[in-house]
Amino acid sequence: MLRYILFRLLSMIPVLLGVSVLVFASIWIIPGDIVDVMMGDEVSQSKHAMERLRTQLNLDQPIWMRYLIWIGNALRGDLGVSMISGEPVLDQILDKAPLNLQLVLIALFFIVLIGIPLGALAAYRQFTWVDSVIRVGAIFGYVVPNFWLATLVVLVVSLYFPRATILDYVPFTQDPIGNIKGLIIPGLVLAMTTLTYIIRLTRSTMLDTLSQEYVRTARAKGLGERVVLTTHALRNSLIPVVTVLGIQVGVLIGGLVLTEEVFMLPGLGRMILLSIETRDFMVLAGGVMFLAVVFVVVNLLIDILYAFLDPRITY
Amino acid sequence: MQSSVGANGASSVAGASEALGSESLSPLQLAWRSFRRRKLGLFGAGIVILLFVVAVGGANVTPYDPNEMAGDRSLAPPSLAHPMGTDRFGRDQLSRLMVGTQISMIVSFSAVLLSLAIGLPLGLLAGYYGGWIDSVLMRIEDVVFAFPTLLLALMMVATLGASLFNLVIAIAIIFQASAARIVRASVMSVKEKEFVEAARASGARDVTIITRFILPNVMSPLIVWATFHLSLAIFIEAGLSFIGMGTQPPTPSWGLMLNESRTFMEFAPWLTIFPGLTIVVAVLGFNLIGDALRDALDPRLSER
Repeated sequence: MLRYILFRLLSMIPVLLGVSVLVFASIWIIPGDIVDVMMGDEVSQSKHAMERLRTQLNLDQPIWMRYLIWIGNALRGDLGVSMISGEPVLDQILDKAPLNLQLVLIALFFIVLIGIPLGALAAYRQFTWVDSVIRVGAIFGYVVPNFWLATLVVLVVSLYFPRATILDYVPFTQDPIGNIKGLIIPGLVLAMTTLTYIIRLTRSTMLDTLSQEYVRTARAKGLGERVVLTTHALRNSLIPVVTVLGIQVGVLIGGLVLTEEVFMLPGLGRMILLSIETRDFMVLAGGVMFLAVVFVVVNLLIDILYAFLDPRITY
Repeated sequence: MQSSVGANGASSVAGASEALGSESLSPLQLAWRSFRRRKLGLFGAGIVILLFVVAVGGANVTPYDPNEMAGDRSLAPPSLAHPMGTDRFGRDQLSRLMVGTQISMIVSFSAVLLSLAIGLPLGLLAGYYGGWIDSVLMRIEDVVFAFPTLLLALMMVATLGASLFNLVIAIAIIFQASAARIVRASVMSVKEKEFVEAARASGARDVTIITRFILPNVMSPLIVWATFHLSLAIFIEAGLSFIGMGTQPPTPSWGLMLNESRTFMEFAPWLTIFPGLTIVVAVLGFNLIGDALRDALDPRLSER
């Protein structure tokens, strides 16, 4: 097991290296002179400011050298400074990341607590109206774009509940309970695509395990239905679900950008959008890099968890 | 005498092959038979055919000129004359949504086709030859998988410049990775089969083996993949246009229309509701086809 964990850790290195090259290349592939692009169309920009930016970006160096400087600094926790505010990029990220963590955790909470039981229930009640309702609901939930769902929620609240405070964002340090209250609906909207996908997946894997011989054996030897369902059937159905959850974290992270924008939440997604608008490419690169690293690490953890969960896998 | 025997022989061979043909069906016919029985799949196909007709018809089939402005009917609620209302410039929303179908179809089909053009050969190479070619190609694809899809698309479009063309490029670059993975996996599962061994033993060249024996076996999973990714591309186009990073005005695109509606949504909720519903219907259509195709082409993967 330890060897497997070590192997997975080492195999992360080339992937992360590739991620950094891709982020770096995307920024430097920008057509035209990057200084002109970043400074915008204003002619009033002084020559002096442009020169300063040039040295700051190490434009006097060849491109591979600029990459080495950038990645070297990044490894030491220096992702550069914002061109707009002058604030270190990492500080901005660490300032906003807790909100994203909250949102993703709330979403995962709904996914696990609603998705898995509903999927299992649908499988257990196959060929009944319960199964049909859950299946149709899951198909619709899956095809509704979450940015549209978010917009509709905002619309309904502002039209019919103008005094409701449920969508108001307050910082955690100011009012922890109000903060979490304000994130419940955004978290649920963020969860929707994955939630409905997990319902479908749990249902189909549960149908598989319910027809397995060990489930029949468990019933034959007189175990209670509840024990058969939870410890024999559901537990074994969850293995593929856990694997998929890792990939789905990527869907959640991608969904953050749009959800935050609609609910006006000051997280990393809005920071990235703002950095695009203001052409603040150091912030863009840092933000994307950070989220990609988080995603890679989450998948690593899921892989290791998977090895623990499935006794059939030995390394 | 001899010639009559020859003629008889030939006719009996033809008769036999005809009889065989009526009994055994090609894989495509089998798949169609299986697909035809799935009502939801047919419903999805109906939606997609309708989308195609509307997209091909373009501005010729819309009730109004989608770009015609009329100040006196700006932000008009749905009525008989304008079933989906009008936007702030008085443009008919139904007509604009119909023309927007073109954008969605162009983006999704060209992105998926382009990603297949890259991913299919890469997957074939990696799966067939294995070894270092496989390792190098798959490590490169791992980098694409390390990014959340929407985030990578957003970053690429942001730096390349927000335009329809760059959006297609970005989606294609992301999709080719999963296309290559799917192809690689199915190549690896068939390349050790007896019929491939037999072809190799009889001296067939690699190109022949790949195109004649392996490629047909890759098609089923790839068709299912393509259907789901068409709907995913519609999603991405709408999402990025929604934040102003996709299709640019005045081109009517569903996501862009949603974006423009946000300013007025409290006075004109129809501008928020209908474009979203259109996206839902389109994505639903492709997903239902995908579900039915997966069940029809590969019963092992069926969800029941």
